[in-house]
Amino acid sequence: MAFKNLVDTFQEKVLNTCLGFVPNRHDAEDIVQEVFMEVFRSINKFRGDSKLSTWIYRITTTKCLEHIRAKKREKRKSFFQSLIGMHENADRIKAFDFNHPGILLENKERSKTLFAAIEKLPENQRVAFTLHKIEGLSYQEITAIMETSLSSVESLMFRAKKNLQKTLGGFYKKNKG
Amino acid sequence: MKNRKINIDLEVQKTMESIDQIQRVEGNPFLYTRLQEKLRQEAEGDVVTIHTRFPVLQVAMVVILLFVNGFALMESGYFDESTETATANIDQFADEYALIASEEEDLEYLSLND
Repeated sequence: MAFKNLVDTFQEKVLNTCLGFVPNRHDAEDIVQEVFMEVFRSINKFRGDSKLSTWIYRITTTKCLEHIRAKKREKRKSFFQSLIGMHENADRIKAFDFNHPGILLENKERSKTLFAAIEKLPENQRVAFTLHKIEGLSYQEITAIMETSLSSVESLMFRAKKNLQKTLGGFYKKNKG
Repeated sequence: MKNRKINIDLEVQKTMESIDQIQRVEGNPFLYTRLQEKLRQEAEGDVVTIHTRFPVLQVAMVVILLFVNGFALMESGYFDESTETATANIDQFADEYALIASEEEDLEYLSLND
């Protein structure tokens, strides 16, 4: 029963965070399940040093990054397979699978471009940016989740914004120029 | 040239701001049921996975069982003149319940029936 309450309390936060990292409802829901399975398995390890929400956000972030890394590996594999003529798997993986249910149709193209740029960020910048801009967490909360200092989070956010502007600038220069 | 730069900057700004318009997504109402099912499957799977994931364990268990059986048979003296022991046991049993008829008893039995 306590686990049901925990799921009810946190599932929306976990799902929206997952969608921030993986903007695809199907994949995001799979990760949500993995997150809560992990929470169930390791709730005994939760020492209460941090807030429960911080601990769950940390698991969510880890699971999302694991999923992203696995997808990248799959892409690399299919790329090499396509090079040596094994096309079966190569066609299965799309370049960028975008299906975020929280994005309005009129913003879809713009958001897709933004998420593609976020995907190019280094991992820690991506985590800080997603947690702050998409999940709306404060720098202080992100500090606890990422187990780093406040100045590091500020620096990560600054660099993330700069990198995004640079990537997007390059994209629009190429496509609208 | 300047106008083009301004246009690009504007596009970048608009795209960066599009993140603020992302709406919150509601969770799946069946999530808990799915989790329960997964946990149940996992609990059932634990027993199976010991056998399927670790074939070495399976082999080791078979070897141990064979060894224990062999040891038990050795201890019971099964391999030591087992035929003689079995015959001796039958004789002892027959003796105990007087199942072996002597020649005299046979004759006595026949004369009674005549």
